[in-house]
Amino acid sequence: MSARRRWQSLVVVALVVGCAPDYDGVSVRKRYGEADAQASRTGISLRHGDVMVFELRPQAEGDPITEVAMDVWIESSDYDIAVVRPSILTNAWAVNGVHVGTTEMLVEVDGELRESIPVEVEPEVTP
Amino acid sequence: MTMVIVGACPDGDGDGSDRDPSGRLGLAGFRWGCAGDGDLGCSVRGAFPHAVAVGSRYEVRAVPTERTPDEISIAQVQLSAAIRAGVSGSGGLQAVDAGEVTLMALGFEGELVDYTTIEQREVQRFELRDAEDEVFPPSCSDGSSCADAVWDEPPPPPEFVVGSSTRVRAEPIAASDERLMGDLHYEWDVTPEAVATLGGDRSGNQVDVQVHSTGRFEIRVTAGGISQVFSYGATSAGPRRRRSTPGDTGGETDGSGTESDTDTDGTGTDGSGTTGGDTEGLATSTGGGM
Repeated sequence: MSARRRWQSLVVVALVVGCAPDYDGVSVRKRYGEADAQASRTGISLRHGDVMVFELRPQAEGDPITEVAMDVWIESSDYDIAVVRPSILTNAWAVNGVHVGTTEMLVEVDGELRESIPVEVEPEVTP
Repeated sequence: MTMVIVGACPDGDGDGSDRDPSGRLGLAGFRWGCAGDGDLGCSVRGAFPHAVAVGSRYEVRAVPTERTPDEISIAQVQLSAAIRAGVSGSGGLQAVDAGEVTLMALGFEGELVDYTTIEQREVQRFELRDAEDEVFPPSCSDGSSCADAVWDEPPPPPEFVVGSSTRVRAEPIAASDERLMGDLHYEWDVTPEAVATLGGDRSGNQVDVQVHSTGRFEIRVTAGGISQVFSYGATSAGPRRRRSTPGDTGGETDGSGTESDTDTDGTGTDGSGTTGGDTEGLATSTGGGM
């Protein structure tokens, strides 16, 4: 790529970034689930066989982006460990622990991979 | 993702619950399906969320509630993980081990509508009930013949009248005294057959007890790894605790053969047939992705 074309690409990127919401990470919090299930931006954990509903919102400079709609999509990188799916609640997603292990939750915002959040499926508690 | 769509029982007016049938999110109602002739869920009303018998095949379906958004349709019910239960080869779920399982109600695009948990429990004992849902008191419950222990005592009140045919239903009970749903394979035996025989399909949870002569007899029920003996008496007349099936007084009285009179009081059928007309939210699968 020539120096001129590289410069043009940077301009295009700058324009795109300038038009997009000022993405500044996501906020994650648990909404429903067992007492020992946890959800935050730094990680998700739940027991084998459990279901947890969590809320995930893109943020702009630390505040949730509520005025500008941003497309969010979340995928598990290993469906054999955990499955992530949308819920019918606003901004809420559901994760279920399929097998004990660790995987990642890949968060796409407006089609761009923004976050990779660790997911740990822990062994169930033996009664 | 493995997915099995299974048939459903009619959603009769008795299909409601005297306990809250809603899922954890309050956005769907969970109901028992009718998995077969050995499923208590076919004949017990208002059952959810009672427990399920280990070893049984069972069906759960999800239905919208008044809190379910209008644009949401429930497509299936899915296990959250293949833990303690799996998808039965003949449809529905198979209870493998005791413990809690989580079921998710999913929309047509795989979105979570709601979820709930149910308990799978070992069968501890049985109760026998008649068509009026009254319990036949068992004379022994240790799973072995207790003829000596019973007959050395003053005889119990007669339970059956010669010539009668009475439908009885076995209900599996957990150690927690909960009635257990799920389709179990039953085996029934009665001795001596000179006094009473059993009619109907003996692989289900209901049989017709046909009494032919006076005396005492035992009914053995086996299912879910448990065998239990119930002892009764038969009398030709006098007070009786159990009502005979109306219109069924012409039974054999010589103790020979096996009579197979059909229940005529309308209580005999349990709705266990599949109709295929209502498959809303009824499906089972494990794990799976979006």
